[in-house]
Amino acid sequence: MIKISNVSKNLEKFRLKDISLELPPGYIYGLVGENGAGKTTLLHLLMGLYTADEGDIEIDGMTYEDNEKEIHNMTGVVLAEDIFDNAMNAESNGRLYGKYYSGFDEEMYFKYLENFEVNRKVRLKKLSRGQKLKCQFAFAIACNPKLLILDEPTANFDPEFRDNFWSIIQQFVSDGEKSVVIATHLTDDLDRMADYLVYMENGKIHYSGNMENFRESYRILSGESYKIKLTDKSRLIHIEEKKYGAKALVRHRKGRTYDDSLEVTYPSVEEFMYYYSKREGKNEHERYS
Amino acid sequence: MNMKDIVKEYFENWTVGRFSKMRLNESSTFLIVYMWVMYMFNVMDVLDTQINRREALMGLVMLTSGTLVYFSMIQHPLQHEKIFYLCPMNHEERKKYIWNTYFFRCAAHIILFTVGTVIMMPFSSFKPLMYPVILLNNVVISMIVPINNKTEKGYCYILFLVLTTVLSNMAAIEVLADSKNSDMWMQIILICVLIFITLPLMIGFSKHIRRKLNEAVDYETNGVRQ
Repeated sequence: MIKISNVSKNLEKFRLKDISLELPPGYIYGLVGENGAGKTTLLHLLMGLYTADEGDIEIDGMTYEDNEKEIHNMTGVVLAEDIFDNAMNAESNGRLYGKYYSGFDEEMYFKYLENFEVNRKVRLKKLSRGQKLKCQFAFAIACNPKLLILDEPTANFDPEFRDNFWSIIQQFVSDGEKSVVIATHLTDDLDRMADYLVYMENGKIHYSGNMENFRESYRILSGESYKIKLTDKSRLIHIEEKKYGAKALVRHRKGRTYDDSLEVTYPSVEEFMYYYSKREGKNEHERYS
Repeated sequence: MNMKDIVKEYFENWTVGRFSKMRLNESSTFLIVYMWVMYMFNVMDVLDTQINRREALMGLVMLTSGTLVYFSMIQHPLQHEKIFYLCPMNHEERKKYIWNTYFFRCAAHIILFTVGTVIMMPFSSFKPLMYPVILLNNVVISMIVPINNKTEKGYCYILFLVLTTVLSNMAAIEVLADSKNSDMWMQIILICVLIFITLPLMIGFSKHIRRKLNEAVDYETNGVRQ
């Protein structure tokens, strides 16, 4: 579905460096990283809003250079910022921009708005942030896309709607041909729902792989500090020592055993991000890379 | 996107919500408000004579059409919402759409001004040279694309263009309102201002119009509508 090869992008104060990724269709891809890691820049490249300085991006075998219209026609987008005209209501925005999409279903759009309890006659600037996002989401789904790109959509959703959101997303990818790329800071959702994880830091991808591989590749060790430190140093990513023990993220290999007194668990995405971003030698590595 | 859609979108885009984005401290809004205030003072002061009553009526027509054109510019900025750049269009189609909407907007503004000028005619004296002056000044105003950033190229052009066209039109109305004197010298001066100042300024500004329109075609070069 998505193939990114050696893509770089220079912005005024930020650089996306040599990104390569291959994402097959039919899955939910979680894109995570600290603020300023480059998630939004990468998504802007995927949406065709930015042009890569180097490298190629292919979506469903097409490039923006040759098939911009076709790619946009098969892509639905939900962004944390306002993308619609705030001076108009949800109905007018839908009618105005929906006509460009060959698959736009106006009835479906109105039905989703009703289900999401968004008043389609009220100007968007009078709606809450969450309602504006629901409006974007309804529009994106009503365009019948093959690819959904979502940048921080869930942060402003109430918990009840978040469940509804994820069930729509799961239904969306259920035919095995459609994909979802979602950047979020709410990593609990990704633990439950994502099939694939991409972790970014300072404009680079540091981890990409399916969730099973991710869970097999890392472990969280809890217990006495000196016992954790006895593990192979090259596998120890970061250890955090506290008064009554320590916790660490380590690289794991199938069949590897640990001291019996240590508690060994799978890392959540949040734990992984937390410990990985504090890893030893991170700053030196960044300085010389 | 055909012309019918462009016309439909032009009228759909007139929304009350966008008026709230007008800021009194913006020079263009300030200029419009200032002109209306000055006009009101002028009317209160001079309605006693036949000539000035005529001038007041002509000024009202001119100011109304000018204000409508200004509102139209606010309602239809060159910059588009982000969703516009995500819609299924290729570069050429976006370019065609942006240029066509610009031409349509210019035509709409010229029509508005022309209607104003036609309404003014019965109140004015017969000085045929002044109508082309007003018409050409109005064409220039209709073609302007807003440049609000003082550091942006073309800002000086727009400043002088607005000043010269507005002042010339005000002077032309005064000449047209006065049926007793021919004001030949004034007429010659206004024609010279048009030929030697306004038109060269507009030719200079046209490259900035082209630049702004081309910038609006792609998201990366376009300042998204605020």
